[in-house]
Amino acid sequence: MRTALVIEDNPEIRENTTEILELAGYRVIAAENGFVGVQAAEEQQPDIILCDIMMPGMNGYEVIKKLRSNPATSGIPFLYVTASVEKSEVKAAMDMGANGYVRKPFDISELISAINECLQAK
Amino acid sequence: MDTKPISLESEAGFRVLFECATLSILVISERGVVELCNPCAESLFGYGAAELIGKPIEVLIPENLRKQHEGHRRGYFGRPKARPMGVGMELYARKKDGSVFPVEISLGHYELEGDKLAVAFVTDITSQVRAKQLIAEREAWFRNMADNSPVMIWVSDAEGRCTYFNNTWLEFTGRKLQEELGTGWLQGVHLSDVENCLEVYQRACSEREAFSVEYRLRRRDGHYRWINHVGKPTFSDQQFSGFIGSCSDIHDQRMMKEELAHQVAQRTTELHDALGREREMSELKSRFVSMASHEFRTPLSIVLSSTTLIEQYGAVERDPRIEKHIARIKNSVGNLTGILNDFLSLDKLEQGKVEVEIDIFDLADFLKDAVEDVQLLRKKGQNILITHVGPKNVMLDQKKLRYVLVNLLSNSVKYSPENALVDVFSELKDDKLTIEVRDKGIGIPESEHKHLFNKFFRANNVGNIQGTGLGLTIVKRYVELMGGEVTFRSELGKGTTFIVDLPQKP
Repeated sequence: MRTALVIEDNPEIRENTTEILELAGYRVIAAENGFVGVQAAEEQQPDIILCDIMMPGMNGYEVIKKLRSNPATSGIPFLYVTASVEKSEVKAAMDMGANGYVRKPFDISELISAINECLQAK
Repeated sequence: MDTKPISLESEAGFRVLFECATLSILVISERGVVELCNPCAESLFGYGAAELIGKPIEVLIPENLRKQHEGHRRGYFGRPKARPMGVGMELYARKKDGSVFPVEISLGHYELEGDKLAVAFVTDITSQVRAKQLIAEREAWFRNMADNSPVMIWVSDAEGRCTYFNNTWLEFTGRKLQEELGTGWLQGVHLSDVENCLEVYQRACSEREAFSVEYRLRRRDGHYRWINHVGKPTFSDQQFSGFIGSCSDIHDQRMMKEELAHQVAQRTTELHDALGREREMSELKSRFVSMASHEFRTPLSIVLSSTTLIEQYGAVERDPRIEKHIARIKNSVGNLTGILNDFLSLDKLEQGKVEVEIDIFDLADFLKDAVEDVQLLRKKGQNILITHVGPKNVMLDQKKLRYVLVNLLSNSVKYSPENALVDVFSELKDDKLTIEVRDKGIGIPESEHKHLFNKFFRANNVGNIQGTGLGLTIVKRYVELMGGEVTFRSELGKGTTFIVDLPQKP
């Protein structure tokens, strides 16, 4: 069974995403902020990470920076889930080493196919 | 060598002098009778010597002065001495023909055998007097002109001291000429302007160059008026002799100019403020649009994901109506997301932040995908047909063209009845790509054609069909960004055809 780490500050979206992924057959670790997320990634080595960009405390950019600078987590596929449609923001995220992104609001099929693309690309 | 002194004391010497002098000489006895006259005198007075000799000298004097002259003559013989006659007086003589002319006369005297004789040397000064008169007339003419000129006129000497002010100046300042002469006029110049005025004036004096200066001059009523003061150097025999200049009252113009400048400054500030407010509003709007778009997406995300979860959890033995409502919720979320995207796109277009990203792609595939996008929107029996003519590879901004096509197609589907056919026809020929989307829908009222691409505009026959009125605005902007043009033909109740023309490299 594959493990997905969901880092998302909004509890409802976090829970819904978790449920959607569980229905799709993933074991899901849910983290409510960047610090918890980074720690979970280091400790549990998930197969894929889904991360929001705008979060209080540590935002999505800082999360990927942390993960990419640590050899233990630098290779884990990373997918942004963002409410932003600003090209500049998306580009910045991709430049920092993300493997893909999904825009909110997303359909189950959109999310799953983005995850699959990410995993295949690995 | 023995030299003999040359002497006039001989009859011959004096005769030559007398006969050849270009001066009229008359010898008069104490009785007032002409004893002798030289040829010059004869021709001057018009008498022959024989006619004149023995006549009283008064025949050569204008009639009205004769009596007076007799008295002067007696007085002279009483105390004769050599002197000019009538010092300070204008003297006149009379010719034989009665004409009178101005003369200058010197007197001398001698005695001969006990008789006292006076000698008068007469010069005709008609031409000098005429010249003087002419000069006086000229001067009077100039002075009259200067004094009555509508502009103030002044003259200064080489040291810069004023030597003349015309009446217009004196009337303006209400001061006497004596008060203004020299540097007196500076007393009327406004204290704040004196320094500048003097500086300009002194520089002009030392450079001997034309100058102009503006200052406030006190008028007779005590008000200071702005004056434009210009001066030009004058030269007499190539020697700098001072300045001549004029002044005009430019107070009203200057006040108007200042008022205008003030108004312009004020308007500029107002405009600047208005622009600032406008910019602020625009920024606020952009921030709002971006914030709203972002903040709407989070709840929309929850709605969509929860709906999806409901769909998944109750997948078995479900009331078919649930399916319908789930589809409705998903559809509405999709609509709302589309509207948010339109708002954002328009805002970016208005901020000029949209750039064209050119790809090379296959138009036939592209059209198929675009039609696929609107399949779900189709009403019962509606069909979309694609026809392409010509080469298939195009160079365009694929994302923008996709938006254009999907928008035009969804409009066609939205505004056409069930079972209606929508035609997509495209042709790539030479340097132009034309795409036409033809429908048999409700059409657009002719009176509203001109507003169709306006922001938020919706034709009055749309009824309850949903829409924001932003789609075509964005379509037009996108097409124009790609260097193309979008037009349409439409007939109310019959249908509409949108034509997109896009330039291509042949």
